[in-house]
Amino acid sequence: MTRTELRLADALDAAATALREDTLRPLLVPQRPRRRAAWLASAAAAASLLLVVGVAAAVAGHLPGSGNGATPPPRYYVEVSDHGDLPVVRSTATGTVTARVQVPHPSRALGPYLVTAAANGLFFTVVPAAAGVQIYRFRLTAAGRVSSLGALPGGALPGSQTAPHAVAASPDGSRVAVAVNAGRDDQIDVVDTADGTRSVWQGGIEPSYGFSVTSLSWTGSGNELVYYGEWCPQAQPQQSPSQEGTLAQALRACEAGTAGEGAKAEAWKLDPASRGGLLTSGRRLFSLPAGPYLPQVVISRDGTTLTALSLRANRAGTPEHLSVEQISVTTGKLSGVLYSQDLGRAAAAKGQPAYLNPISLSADASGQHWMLFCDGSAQCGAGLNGWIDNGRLVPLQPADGSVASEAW
Amino acid sequence: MAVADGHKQPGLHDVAGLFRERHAELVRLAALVVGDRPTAEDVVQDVFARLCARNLLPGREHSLAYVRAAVLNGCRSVLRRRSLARRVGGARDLDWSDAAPDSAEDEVILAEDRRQVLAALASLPVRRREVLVLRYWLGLSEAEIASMMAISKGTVKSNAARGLAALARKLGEEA
Repeated sequence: MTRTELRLADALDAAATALREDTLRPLLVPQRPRRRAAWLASAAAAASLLLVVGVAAAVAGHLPGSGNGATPPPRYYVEVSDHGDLPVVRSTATGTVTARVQVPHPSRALGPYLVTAAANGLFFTVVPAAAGVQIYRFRLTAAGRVSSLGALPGGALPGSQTAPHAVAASPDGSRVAVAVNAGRDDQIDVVDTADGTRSVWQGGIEPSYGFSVTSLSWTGSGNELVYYGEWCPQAQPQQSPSQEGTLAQALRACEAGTAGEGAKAEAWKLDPASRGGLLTSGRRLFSLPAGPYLPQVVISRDGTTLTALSLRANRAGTPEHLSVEQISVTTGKLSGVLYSQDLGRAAAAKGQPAYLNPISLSADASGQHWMLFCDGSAQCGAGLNGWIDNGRLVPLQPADGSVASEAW
Repeated sequence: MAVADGHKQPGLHDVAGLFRERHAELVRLAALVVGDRPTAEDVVQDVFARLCARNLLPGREHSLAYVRAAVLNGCRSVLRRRSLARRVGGARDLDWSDAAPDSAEDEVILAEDRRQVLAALASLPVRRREVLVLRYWLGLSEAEIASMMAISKGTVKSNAARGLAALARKLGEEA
């Protein structure tokens, strides 16, 4: 080593040593258990419904369902960056930022915002706050500007100190559903945007399970809310709320692969008019014991079709293929594939395994135009932010894998 | 000096466990890149929350490298914002005098000579600074650094060489 190298190594070591471990701020409790990778690893035991889907997908052609040319996609969309910056409005055609949504900016440590769209340019964004989350409402003008931004009455939701897990506005904007963590399990809050009243669906989960919501969606009438969630087996009862105990609990909950049988994902339909209740008080649309991992499942506007984002893994548990599939609610059978992509190639271009890339799906208010994007890290393949147009993905900005949430 | 452990993985396969084991190392890594402790702790907390929320660790053989890469990405975001803020005024440059030691003992550890070196390091472009920290603090190989930063080995080598040369110049030495 040269003298410069020696001095550098010594200085780096001294600076690092000066930062004593026992003086570090404790890490905040993680927001929820997930077991994405574990599910991928157990793909061999696919459930009956989605086994049908998986096999059929291999031979199905693309549907002209999304971006079918009947109507053009929205001219603008709202994008929330993974960096914790303010949400921005972008032009669909050019990616140009036309406006910023000036919501109060929380600590970055509390996680990103989520955004959702209703019809007629109405948007809602959920902002993590110190004592829960706050929903803001705004409109996009025809020129892509923000107007009428304000906190939604009744939109301050107590409970979670971490980012909400899912949000969806009813197409007419009369209700907003938000999934937040409430201790061990998630709960779903629905806020009436006219009078600020709030209905809560929670509980009904077997004591041996932890529950988290991955997606929320509405039928066109706004009379049915569909949630898709995951049940993680809990190896032991909940411990004291010390950080160590909570972390250990999260660890156990996520280890579906070692916890054995019982991990499942289910889609349920709730009736908002019931004004809350148990999470299992509605109608179960399907249950998936294991198999192809579905990050998201969204109900169509007419309530007849589920659109699912599906990841398929190889024998080693590494996902190799992504597809956006449509499943009939009544028959449980695949009715078409909107989009498919070899994930391995996209991820390999970045030198990272594909399952590092969380992927999300977002429909416009008409339910016809779908956005598909990575929502997590800079490892994301550059091609995975776009909208689906006749089986191909039309790129949207930004393409650097920094999207946390998008809506149009 | 911290021992290089690019070849010795922690044997953990979950986010919470890995962060429990590596919290201090990750904060130190971030602090050496961004130059101050509070920001470093924020960066690590941010990465921790995001990964826990999504349970996104790869297999155990890749998990530590991935988390380190995620922390470096977080550091870059911070530095990018600082750079932008500096252009419009108000933000400070990296300043190792901000790295307040925890005690009188630490004050001794961070002696003036070391502060000079750290200040010179802080003046380097981000990529060179990252390469030097990964090489001379974590002790990673060129191949490991290349993989973590998603750049070629040649780029690692050139950044290290240019970074060292720049340090030597600033410190009045020959590289």
